[in-house]
Amino acid sequence: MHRSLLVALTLVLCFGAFADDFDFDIASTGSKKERTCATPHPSAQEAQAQEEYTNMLRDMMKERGGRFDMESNATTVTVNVYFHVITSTSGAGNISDNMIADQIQVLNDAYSGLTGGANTKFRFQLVSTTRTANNTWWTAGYGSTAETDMKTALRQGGAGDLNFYTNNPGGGLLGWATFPSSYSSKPLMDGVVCLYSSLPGGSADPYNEGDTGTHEVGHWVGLYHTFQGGCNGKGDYVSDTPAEKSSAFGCPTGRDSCPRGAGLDPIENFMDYTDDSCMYKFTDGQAARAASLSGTYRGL
Amino acid sequence: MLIIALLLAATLTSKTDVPRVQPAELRALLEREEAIAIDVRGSVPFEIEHVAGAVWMPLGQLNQRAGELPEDKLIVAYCTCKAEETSLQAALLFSSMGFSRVAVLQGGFPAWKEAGLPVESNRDTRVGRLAPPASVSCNRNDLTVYAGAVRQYRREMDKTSITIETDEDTVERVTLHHTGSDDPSRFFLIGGTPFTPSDWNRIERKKGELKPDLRAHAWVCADGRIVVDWML
Repeated sequence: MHRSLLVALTLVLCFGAFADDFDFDIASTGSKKERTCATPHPSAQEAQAQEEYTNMLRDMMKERGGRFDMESNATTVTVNVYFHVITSTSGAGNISDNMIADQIQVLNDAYSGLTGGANTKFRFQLVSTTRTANNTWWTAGYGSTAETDMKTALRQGGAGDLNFYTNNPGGGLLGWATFPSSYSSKPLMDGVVCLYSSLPGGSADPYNEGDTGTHEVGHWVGLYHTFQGGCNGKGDYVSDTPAEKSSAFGCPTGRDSCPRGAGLDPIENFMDYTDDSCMYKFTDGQAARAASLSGTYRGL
Repeated sequence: MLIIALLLAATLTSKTDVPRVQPAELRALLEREEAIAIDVRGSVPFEIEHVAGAVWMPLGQLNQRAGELPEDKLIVAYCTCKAEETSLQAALLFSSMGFSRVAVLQGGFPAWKEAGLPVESNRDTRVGRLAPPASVSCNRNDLTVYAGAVRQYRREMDKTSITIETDEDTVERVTLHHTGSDDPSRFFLIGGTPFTPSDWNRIERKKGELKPDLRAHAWVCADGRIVVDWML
């Protein structure tokens, strides 16, 4: 959290002397929540893949003096992208082919390191585009029956193929995605969904440079938010993204929400919530994690 | 007592020297806060399932992260391997670093599971990206959001407290102050739209009692403003 924010919150907690409309307290218990889902134990194949991954990281650290660097892994993989444009029956959301092409370019720039981050193994190519006018699917949100119906009808390809849907989910949701590990149990639900106006040149300023797509595809290849776990615990399971207490918005340079931990908040990382213009990078550790999980669960 | 005596042995030099702890023993030690379980596997198997309360510290990170561990507790390493190959390596490494009380879990995580002991999973995390509602007007640089399942809700005269178990695996609490009233609705939105009196029936089953399994986004500004957006 930005230090000024921390100071302000501390004042609130200590004195509570705000005007009525601004009175609030906020507290983080610091405790971890208990998960109750009974996910199956990893198979021998998964365990073996993870062991190889750990060995790879260890070897890379030795070679690079303790720093991961995926550029040494020159092999790239091209992901087929099936685009699905959902519109209202009146035609709202009918984004152009040029916007779709620009979105693919934004993904390639981000994942190749062109924008300033790690050079991941992923490249993207558009295979086909479907356009569907359906008022129910147009506002389909996460976990809705409409989402299930939409994806069941439209999804194409296998575990390593990216299905990219655009619609207008509402509720401030810019997009959502499924993790690689979810594919085997729910293959038809696999893919990313983005607010149509978040594509490059859309109207969702300051989220209209295509980085909602970059962010959601990050989840699709296995990445968590940079603020996963807050300041404690395992965080986002990537060692080179500093811990972050909670999501950042705008572009709060110098934000340091976990002052006891090393490094400033990774506000420039695609897996935070900052403005599109603020985020420009994945880290080498994220590249390695994404390569591992996508290799294990998507065959990429 | 015999086990404790074994665990107090001097620096370990071979895998055969490393004490083994049975799953039930480890559970008892954890409950008494006399031990700490260290999961030395990779991130994926840990995320899928692990010993409840375990610390994830893969073999490749032990050198860098051993300083995080308390010196006054028994360190019990475990892996998925039934012969404890990886956890034995970890135990020897801990011992060489000066930790005097180290052990491995006999049978590893499979034995823990087979014994029906508590596990945790970090999977099925909801993922997405949020934009602030238009009515949250503070500088975005000073804004954050806690999004997730509402676990506690206490609405009373003068204040309302809401505890959110976030999608990012943290627990956060916000308290709204509404002096002289039991109505916090001026701080509320519902699905990004203004909260109206008729919306109480959508979030509460009776006055002050929240419906089960509700989600909320608590938008928190540095200047003191807070907005709770109910997600139905």
